[in-house]
Amino acid sequence: MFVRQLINELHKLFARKRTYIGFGAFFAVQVIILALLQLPKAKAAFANLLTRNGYGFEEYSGGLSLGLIILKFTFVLLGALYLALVGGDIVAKEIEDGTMRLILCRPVSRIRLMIVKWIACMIYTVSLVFFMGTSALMTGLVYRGTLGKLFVFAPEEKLFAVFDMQEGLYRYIRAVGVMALCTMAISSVAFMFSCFRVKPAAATVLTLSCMFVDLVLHEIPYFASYRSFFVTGHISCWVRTFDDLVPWWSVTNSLTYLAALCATCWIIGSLRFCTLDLKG
Amino acid sequence: MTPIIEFLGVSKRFAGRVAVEPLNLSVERGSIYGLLGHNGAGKSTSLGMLLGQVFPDTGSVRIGGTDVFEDRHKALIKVGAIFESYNFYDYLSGMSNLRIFCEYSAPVPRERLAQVIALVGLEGRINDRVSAYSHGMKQRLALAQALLPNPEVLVLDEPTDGLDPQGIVEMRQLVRKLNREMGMTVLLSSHLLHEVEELCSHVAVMHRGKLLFAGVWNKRDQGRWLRVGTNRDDAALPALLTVGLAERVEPDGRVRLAEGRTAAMVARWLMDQGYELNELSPHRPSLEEFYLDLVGPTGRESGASATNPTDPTQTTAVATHH
Repeated sequence: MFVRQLINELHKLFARKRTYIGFGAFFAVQVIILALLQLPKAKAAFANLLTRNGYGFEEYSGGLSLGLIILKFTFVLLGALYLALVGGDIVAKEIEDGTMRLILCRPVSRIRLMIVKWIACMIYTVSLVFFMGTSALMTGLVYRGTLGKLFVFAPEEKLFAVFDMQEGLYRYIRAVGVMALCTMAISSVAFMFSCFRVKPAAATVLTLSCMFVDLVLHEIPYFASYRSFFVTGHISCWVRTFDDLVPWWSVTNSLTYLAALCATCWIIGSLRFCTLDLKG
Repeated sequence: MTPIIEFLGVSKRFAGRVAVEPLNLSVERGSIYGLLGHNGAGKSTSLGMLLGQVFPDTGSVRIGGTDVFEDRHKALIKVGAIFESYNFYDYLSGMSNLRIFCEYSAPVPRERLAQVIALVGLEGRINDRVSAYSHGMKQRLALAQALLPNPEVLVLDEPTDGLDPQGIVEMRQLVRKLNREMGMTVLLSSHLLHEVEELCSHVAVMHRGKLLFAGVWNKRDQGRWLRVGTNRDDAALPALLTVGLAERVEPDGRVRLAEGRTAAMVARWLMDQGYELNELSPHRPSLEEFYLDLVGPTGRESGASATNPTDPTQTTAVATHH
């Protein structure tokens, strides 16, 4: 029954027209980013960065490099917003629409319902991130006609790395996998807010506000010694998987921190939901 | 008869405001029980507590002897419910909705699904999206999801709200059929008095969170209401109150006898006083009269008509328990 309930929950998520509009929006943004990257100034800056470091522009501006740049921009511009939207909806929307009352007429426990909904939300998150990764790569590949070598530049992580095509593709896929795990934290925060008696939009706004404040505080030098507490710093650990020697201890540390955050959000959300009076 | 639903001293407050005062109510197995009250009377909160959706501050609720909050699964496995607004995933088909809701209980065999869909008359449209359904079709889908687990108890919260007259009649017939042929206990919350009068053997009247009456409504005051007409009603009727023959008189000539008084006593007294008696017949109050008598036409307890101030039964609510 648990599997059936999970499949039904996913069916509810993936049968919405809105889901595919969202996926379409991601693709559209990726195409726009690609177009912007072709503007002379952007292209020149990119070429300059590569040639200054002794690498050929043509060689390192293939589908892989473009895909990674597009992925980073898409994630920053839309990823968090969309994950917060879906996570914020998952419980609050059902309460608002009245379907939750109908579900709770059935002899299903509230805790089980929370487990099913959270897992569905996480599966959705992973699917969305893999869609983002795949479509960014495909956009780059279709535009350039070749994967090429991978060039990674992330000044915030003090990272400059180059990989040949095979290693680059492997690194890219692995980074997308780690990014999917990291973004579960955003969905979990949204899920937690969704369990409170709030409108779905409020849960989304609260999640985005938390992430935004976290990001701003993370960037303020005054709080440098507290950076390990900021969620957004840990979420960006996926970029560190492009280091020549991946700091696995640090990446695992960040993932553990985010896993603990997910668990905390689930516990708080579920406790709230389990004491919530539902009335028409 | 054994009670299948028991409210045992359940109460609920929302933000300090009383929604339901300690409520004791038993619903007998196989009955159609009407829950009446104005908006905000506490009906929906009571049903919410029955279905484990609202947590009571005190007391407990049992279905078939099982506490809803102690063993939710056992208590609710044989309960079906419909709410006033038919809320479904309208981007999914009727069939998908049924599957989703029923799989929160237990797997339902295909034959059972087909049987229930046929019973509510949705065979031809069950694979259409719910967004394309009319209000009546949504109501039938709601009924189907309630009936799928083969319930012993059917909880209906304002089930005919927004339905057209034919839909109301069909709903009423179906409820009767389920009760008579399948022995289903039905708890029906409504503010449509006519509907409750047509369907229900028992009623519970709630007002401002308080249970005013519970039981067989038309047995209460049986034989105590008369319709009296004289040549001078304006003088004769109030006089019945004064001399203690009546404890309540209505301007339209309805009179409720005081305890121990009979129609013959009233007739004899009126004639002795020289009134010309034009009408003296037993009156069977409608549920509407009964209800308004309890809560008053504007929701105030007890009606606005003339009453005997010395009669203690007029001043407070009557809460009987069956």
